[in-house]
Amino acid sequence: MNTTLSRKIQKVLEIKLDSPELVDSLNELTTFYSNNSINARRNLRNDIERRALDINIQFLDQFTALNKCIEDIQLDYEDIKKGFSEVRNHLSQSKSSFSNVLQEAKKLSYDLKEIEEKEKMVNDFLVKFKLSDEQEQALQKKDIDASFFEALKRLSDIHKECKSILSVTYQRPTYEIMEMIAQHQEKAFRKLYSSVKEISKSLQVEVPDIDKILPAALDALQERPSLLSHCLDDIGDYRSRCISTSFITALTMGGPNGTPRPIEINAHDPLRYIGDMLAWIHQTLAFEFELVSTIISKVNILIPIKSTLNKSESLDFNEDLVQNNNNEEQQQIQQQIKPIEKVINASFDLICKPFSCRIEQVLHSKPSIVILYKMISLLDFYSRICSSVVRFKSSKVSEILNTCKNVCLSQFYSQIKDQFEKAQRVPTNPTADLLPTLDVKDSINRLKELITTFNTSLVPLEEREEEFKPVLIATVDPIVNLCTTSVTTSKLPLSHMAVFMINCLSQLQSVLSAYDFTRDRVELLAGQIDAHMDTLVEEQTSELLNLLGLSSKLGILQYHDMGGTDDTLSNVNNPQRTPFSQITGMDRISIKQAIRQFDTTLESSFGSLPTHALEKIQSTKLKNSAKRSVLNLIVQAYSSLYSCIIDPANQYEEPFSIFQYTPDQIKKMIS
Amino acid sequence: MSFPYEYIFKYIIIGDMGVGKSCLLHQFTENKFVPDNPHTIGVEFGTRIVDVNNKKIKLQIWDTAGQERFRAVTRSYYRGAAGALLVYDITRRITYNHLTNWLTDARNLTNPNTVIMLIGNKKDLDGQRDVTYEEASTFAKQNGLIFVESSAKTGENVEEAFLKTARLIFQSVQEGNVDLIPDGGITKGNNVLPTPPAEQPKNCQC
Repeated sequence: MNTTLSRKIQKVLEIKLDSPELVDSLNELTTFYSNNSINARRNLRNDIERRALDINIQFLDQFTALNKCIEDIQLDYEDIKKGFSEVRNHLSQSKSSFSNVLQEAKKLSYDLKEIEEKEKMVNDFLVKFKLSDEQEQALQKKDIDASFFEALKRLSDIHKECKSILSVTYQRPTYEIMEMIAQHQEKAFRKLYSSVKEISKSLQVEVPDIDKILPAALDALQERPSLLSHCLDDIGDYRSRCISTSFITALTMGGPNGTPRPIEINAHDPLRYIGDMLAWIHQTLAFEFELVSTIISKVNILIPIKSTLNKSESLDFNEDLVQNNNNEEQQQIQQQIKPIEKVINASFDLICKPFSCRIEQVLHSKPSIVILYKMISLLDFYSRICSSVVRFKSSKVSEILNTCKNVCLSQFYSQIKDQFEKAQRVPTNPTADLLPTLDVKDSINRLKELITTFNTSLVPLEEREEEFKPVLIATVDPIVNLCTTSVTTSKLPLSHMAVFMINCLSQLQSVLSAYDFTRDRVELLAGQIDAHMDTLVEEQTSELLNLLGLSSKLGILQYHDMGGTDDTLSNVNNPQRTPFSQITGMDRISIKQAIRQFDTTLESSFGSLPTHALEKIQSTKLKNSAKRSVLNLIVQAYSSLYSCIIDPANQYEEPFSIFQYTPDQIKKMIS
Repeated sequence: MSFPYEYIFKYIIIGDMGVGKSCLLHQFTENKFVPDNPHTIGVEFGTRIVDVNNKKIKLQIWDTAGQERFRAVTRSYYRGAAGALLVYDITRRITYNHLTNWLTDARNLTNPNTVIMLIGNKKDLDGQRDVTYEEASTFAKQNGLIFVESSAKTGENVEEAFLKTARLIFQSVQEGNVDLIPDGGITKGNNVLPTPPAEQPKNCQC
């Protein structure tokens, strides 16, 4: 017990009175130990214990509540945990599903990009292969204007583009596009065609206003050559009618109030009449060429020459397409022509008739050959001039003029022929002067005029000879024939005949000699003249020798010199030959007589021999040359006789006393 | 652009051989002088559009050969000329002396309204002058012609000659003295009022 007590004491002793626990405990105690009574002291412990119990109970209560709370919390937590796991599940599910979505989104955005690209391509494609709305409208508008042509150009560009692709790829769609384009084109061309037809009607007046659309429209129509060709036909037709009307007006009525006067007023003067008509045509052609050049200035393709068989009846808008596929047909139409040529030629189609009619009328009035030839020359001149105006070869106008020219030419030749035949039938004989007869003179003068006319023509120098040859054949030969007939039917001596021929031929020659294109003829005539000159000289000489009394002696001399017909062995140097003095007619006396006659005749004419025929040669040059030849021959004859006589072999006595003159003296005397 | 003129006037150039008719034409239409121009064969043709009183006029000029041998051809071109340019060479009196013949032809073969202009060409060769200005001027006055001396070589007064003639013709047109028909040498080109010619074809169609 002690220990207990001691411990207790000890404990009490150890109690520190100022410790805060004690203070707090005491403070606490004061709250419920209000009365220091025995009872109280006795119960203090209980009280304290009760209090502790109370406190514990309180604690317990409190913890019970707390426990409950915690339990609640735990429940909640469990719930939350469950919720979260659900969420997590959900999330994981979502996650897996979202990855698909994402993938899809990615794909979609990729697709979008692709689609955008495609859209761009489609747009590009449309721009390239489809008309814009405005363009389509332009094609459908009532009036054709610049936008129409633009649209049309687009169509053809698209068509071309398609064609170029076609060979590579995308054949089907390209065909579809082409078909669509072709439909548009067909419509557009149909419209264009009818509108050109309409506009062309304005060309029916002589000096038309040209719609500015027309050149562009014709330009556009080049894609449809057959339509273009039809339009050009129309234009040519309108112009042709218009030109022929104005031609008739100019011919028959002239200008208003008759100024200028109608061309036909000069119908009595063929050259003036035809010249005026041709000048009118020339001027109209020049104007027309400018006009048509303006209208079809942009057309540069060649047009097939219209084959009347397969085209004129029906109008097929697809003709060209058909043609493109049809090789055979293409081969058939090989001949092509410049559009300007086509239109101009057509334009002058209708004047052919009135013009050639009038030419024929003129021909009916039988103009003189010279007038006729001048007409021909005029037609030839204008045919060439007109060709040069239009700058193409097969010009209709030139063709018309050439046809007329040929008609005139055939009449020209037949008239010439008639006239010569008539003259031949009743030839006029040469008069005493031996100059060309009237017929011959007329013919030569006429030829001269023909040549002068031809010389002023436009025939190029290198073609002249060939071109004029037929005229020369038709005139020169008959003139020569005429002369020959005239002279042969006369009873003139040979020398006179020759003189007449020389006079005629030399006159003919002088007409021809001034020109290059007659050179052959001039040479030919010179040859003929020479031949006649030879005859003349021979004739005149023998005539004179006869007159002078030498011819018989010369005859004997010549006969023996030639060797005589019955004595084949004898010749000049043959010593066995009989001397001339012993030949009959060659004896000294008769020779002397002959020489005497010769001298006397010569002396009495004072040395100038009577060359009557020669005097009648018109050309002095020919006359002198003929005289010279004749006198030479006479001197030659005298000399041969002289040398024969003085030849000792001929055994003449005193041969020199036979002659009064030596050959040289004779020569001096007569020349 | 296609038809930028309102009238067409037809001109004819006449005068002796070698006075420079073709040179005048070339100078006027091409602003070129071609020395030793070959002789004109028959007729040649040139056009130029000029401005008279703000109207575009197309001059259609027919240049004739001066050689006598072409007379038969050239006389047909006087027909319906609105203007005639009568040319002589101031250095060769003979060409001046022939003017009376040319003038007679011109008067006989053209209309009374045809404007005739006398041109003394080769003014550049003043040193070799054979016909004085005064003399020709008097001649022109006596015959009612307008007169100018020109040089196709230098171009002096060439434009003037053609334009003066055009102005006189135009004046005559405005005064109503001349009928506008092609055959009269004066033609109305692009109409100011396009309606009448447009109607005409319709009528024809009926």
